[in-house]
Order: sequence, then C-alpha cells, then structure tokens
Amino acid sequence: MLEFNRLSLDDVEVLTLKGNLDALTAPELRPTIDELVAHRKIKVVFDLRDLTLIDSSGVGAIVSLFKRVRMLGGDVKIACLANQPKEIFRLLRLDRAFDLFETVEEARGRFKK
Amino acid sequence: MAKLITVRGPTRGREFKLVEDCVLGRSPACQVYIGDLTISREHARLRSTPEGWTVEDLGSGNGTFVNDLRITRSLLRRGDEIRISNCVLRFMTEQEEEQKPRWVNMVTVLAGHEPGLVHTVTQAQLPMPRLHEDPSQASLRDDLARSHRMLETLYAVSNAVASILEPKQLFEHILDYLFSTFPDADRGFVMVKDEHEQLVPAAIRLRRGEAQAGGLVVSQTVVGEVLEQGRSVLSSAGPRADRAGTKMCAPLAAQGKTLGILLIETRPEGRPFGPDELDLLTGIGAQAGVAFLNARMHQQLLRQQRLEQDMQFARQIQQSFLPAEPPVAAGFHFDRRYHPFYDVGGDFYDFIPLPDQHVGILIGDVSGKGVSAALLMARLTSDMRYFALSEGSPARVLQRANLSLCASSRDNMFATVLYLVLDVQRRVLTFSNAGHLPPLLRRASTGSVAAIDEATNLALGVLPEAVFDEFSLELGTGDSVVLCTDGVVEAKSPTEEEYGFGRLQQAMATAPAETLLDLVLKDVQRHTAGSPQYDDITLVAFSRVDGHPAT
Repeated sequence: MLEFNRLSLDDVEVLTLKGNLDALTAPELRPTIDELVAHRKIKVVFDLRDLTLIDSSGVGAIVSLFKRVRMLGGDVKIACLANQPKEIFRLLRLDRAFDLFETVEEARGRFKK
Repeated sequence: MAKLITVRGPTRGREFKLVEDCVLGRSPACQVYIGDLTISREHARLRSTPEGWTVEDLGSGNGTFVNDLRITRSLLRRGDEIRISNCVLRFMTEQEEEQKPRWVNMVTVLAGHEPGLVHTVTQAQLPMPRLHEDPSQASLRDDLARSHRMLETLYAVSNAVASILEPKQLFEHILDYLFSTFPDADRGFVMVKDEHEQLVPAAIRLRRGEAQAGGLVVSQTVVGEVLEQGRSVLSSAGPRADRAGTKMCAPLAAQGKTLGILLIETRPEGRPFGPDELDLLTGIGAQAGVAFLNARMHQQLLRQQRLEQDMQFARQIQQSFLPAEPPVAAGFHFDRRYHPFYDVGGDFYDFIPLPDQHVGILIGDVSGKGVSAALLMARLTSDMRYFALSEGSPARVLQRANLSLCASSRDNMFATVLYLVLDVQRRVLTFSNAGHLPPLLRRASTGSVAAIDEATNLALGVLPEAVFDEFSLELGTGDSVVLCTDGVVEAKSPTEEEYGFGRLQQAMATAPAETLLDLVLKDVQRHTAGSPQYDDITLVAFSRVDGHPAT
C-alpha cells in the first residue's frame, strides 16, 4: 500500500510518500513523475517521514525522477528518512547523489538561490 | 461492381475492387495483394463468368475456403466469406454495399426515466404448445413453428460462437446473428463490464450507414434493469423523442453473473419487437455469455503463457551470462552458489580471467525483476568483462560501468556491484564497491569474521559524476572471503525474521574452504525452515588454501 500526496510550495514540489514503495506500488508513482517532468517542475522534495518500506524498484522510481529533473537543471532532495528506507539509502550510498535533510523546510530552503 | 472486404487479417477493413479476372496472393503483382507470409504468392483467382463470380484455388499451400468449406472452385454469392490462411474476405456487390452495416464506436448511457418500459423476462421461455387443443388449429402450428425457429436459432448461435476465442470477433459475430435473426433490427450493440465493473461498448452495428452525430443513446433505466436485476427488457420508446423505435435489451449472462448487455433497436417506423423476440434475445444472451466467458478465460491463459515465455527467455539470458565453472588458481579455492527466485531477479556474478595471474570476481544485483532486469544484467556483465580487461583497477572499472549505465539504461534502473581483483601471486585483494553488500573476510589467524566496509560507493547508474575508490588487503593462509546478495541476508524465517549478517558471519566462522558455501546455505535453509523465498540467493566464496590445508 502506498499513499502519496503532492503539494506545490512556491516553485518547489513536495511529494509525501506513506506506506510501501516497492515493485508493486512504484508504478503508481510513474504518472506523477512523468507529469512533473512534463511541466518542468524540477525542484522536488520527497518527504519520506511515513515511508515504512522501500525496495530496489522503489529506489528506481526516485532515481528515475532524479535523473530526469537533473537533465533539466533541477534536483531532488530527500527529507525525513527513517527506518528501513534510511538503511537502504545508506547501503546504496545514495547520500552521495541526494542531499538528505531532517525537515522538509530545510530541504525546500536549500533550493532558494 | 463486386468487391472483397477484409473482415479479418492484416488488411482488415480494406476493400478490394474486383476486375473481371484477378488473382489474390502475397505477390505485389496480384490485384488483390495481401502481404502475409502464410498466403501463397498466387493463391486464388476470382473471375466474373456468365454464371456469376467464381473463386478458384491456384494450388495454394494452405487452401482456399468459402464459408469454411475447402474448395478448388466455387461460385460466389453475395455475403460469402472467403478464408485464406488467417484472412477472411467478404464478397460483396455494390447493391448490397449500400446497406452494409457500419461499425461505430459511440454509446451514451442517459440517466433518467425510461417511459416506455413494457415487458421484462428473467429467462428465455419457449412458446408452449397447448396440447389439449386440436392439433389442426392454426395457433398450435404457429407455436410449434416458432418454437422450432427459436431452437434452431439458439443452436446456430451457440455453434457459431462457441469456438470464437477473441472477444471483439465474438461480439461482431453475435451482432451479425442478431441482425439476421431480427430483420427489423436497425441498430445493435454489445456492452461489457470492464475490470472496474464499468460498462464499456464492445461492439456496435448500424444496419443503415447513416452518420450518428451523437452516437447511440440508451437509458440508464434499461441498463440498470438488465444489469442489476438480470432481466431482459422490451421498451417501446427511447429516451429521446426523435428516436422512438422499440428496443430490446438482454443480459450477457453466464454462471449466474451478468457480464454485459445485448441491445437491439428497430427503426422508429419499423415493426415493433414483441415478447417472443425478447425471449429469443434472452436465449442468445445466455449463449453469448458462456462464449464470452470462454473467450475471456482463453485470453487470460494466452497472456499468462506469453508472460511465462518472457520469463523463461529472461532466465535463459541470465543463465547464459553466468560462468559455468569457478576458476582454478594455484593456492586458491573458488566456489559459488546461485539459486534464482522464480520471477527472475537481477542477481549476477562472474569470474573474469585477467593477465598476470589476476582473477576478477564480480557480484551484483540489478534493480527490478523480470525481463528488463535480465537484459540489463546481461548488458552489465558483458560491459564489466570488457572494462575489467581494459581498465584493470576495480575503481576505474566501476567508474566506466557507471558511465555506461547512466548513459543508456532506462531511467529507473540501477545496479549494485562489488568488483574485486585477486592477485594470485602476491595474494593481494583489491576491490571497489558500488552500493553492494560488503565482502565478509574470515581471518584464519584470529578466527574473526568481519564485513569490510571500505571503498563503498554510490550504486551504479544513478549519477554520472559519481567517484569510486578502492581498498586493498593481503590474504593470509586459510583466509576466506564470502560475497553475497541481499537475498541471503534478507531470507526470512517463518516468523518473518531476517537471516541477517550476524548469522552469516557465524555460519562461516569455522567452516573449511571446500564446504564453506554448503554450510552457509544449509544454515540459511535452517533459518527459513521452508518459508517461501522472495529473491535470488547468490553466494561467491574464495579461500587461500596454500601451505597447509584449511581446517
């Protein structure tokens, strides 16, 4: 089960994920990812406070958005990693690609010039 | 003017105007040219003769059929269907073409009250002959004749549709039958419930080819009655004043479920439908429902088979890229175990012979599962073999592999890879890790087992500018290294507890080199105790066994 919510704050898109982001649910995120890229919403923050589980397909979905917005000069920042997803991010050393923040506000703030 | 209209096959919907003497075949020189390999170059000849149009088989490989009978030569009547291989062509003349039923794709279900609902039935009723009456009476003869006609029609419908396994084609056939059974029908359609229980048009037919600006209109009352109550409905007037033909609507039903509806309508000035005809339509709906259920099950089976074939193909690709035998190197013992999960995960490993008595050892996991994962894994394995030979240093090999993966892979694919180079002569191991589980090292001198977390970098395929470092260590006599994928550490016990690194370290603490992986696997199996496995399990091990044998 995955619930997600999209919120536009100024020019930053905040995607809140709740539940499991895995092989089963990752495709649900696909249309939103396509839409963000299509509308050049290239400043994205993932709020992962309530994400309980992520697998390689789930990481793939986030990586996909990351690669695509970066091609357009944007970035994806990660806020509030916890539990198993935090462990997966550590194992894959994803901190070397993504900026990680304790709060959404911090992550958003980092986008300001 | 005579024509052939393609009803089925690669030229579907296309019309071929026939000249007096023409040849049908897959040679582009044919007047009726159908580019299908299963059709002979010159398959059949169509000729206008004094008796009428004829079709003649030209010694074709797959034969020529007219209305499903194989022929060498046959006279053609209007409406005859010529089948060659997978193509069906309907023979038509100009005159008939004007009344040709047209397929359209618009149906509107109007909410609101249906004023003319006059008759409903729940089950097809055969007209019952009143036996106590005098058999010479006209009414009894009529009843018997109607009964007979109805049974005949139902029998014909059930015969015709039972073997059609493609839903769209099935519905087109059913509408054909409805139009021939009900000469007063002017428009007809079939709607079926989709996977969300929404009613969607499946096939629509108009007897007259008039352009329908607003499409077909049907009232919610009729649809609701049929769908929810499972009753057939006869209604005298449409929801729109200008469309006042009678309508009949019957459930497409099978195994006690309503799968959709059949609906036909007369033209406004046409003879209205009656209760007998509603009975007949109800009977046809039941036959069609069973046929639809069969067709749907068949489609599901086909999809499943295709999926299974894809999986098998992926598995073959994957297996073909895994090395058959571990390498042989003086003073070292190599071993590996690979247990793919049914769904084809993305695990892979490799041993790459390098110059100067070096051996490249590779273990990795591609994100995702299935065919795309298998293809990416195959690509990455061949990339790695190439980079291993051209670059040498593990960090540079991973750097190249990362660039290659970032440049070309699908955007949601990435891979974790651990690449090690063993210098057999100097007994030095150098490795670089791209987001993979670290190597486990057992030191014979102390008996300790530890994960070597050094030189762990970002997974491959995420960031082109990612940098990779490497780490070296010397292997003493009796030292062992075990590499694994997350299928091992995440193997779950019946109580959902993961096997974990701790147990793995314990399991490899005392095992001799030759049976190291057997013991580890046995320990994993003891932990899972028959619980289903959800990921590939891959293990690679190598030990320094020179000097005195490992104990």
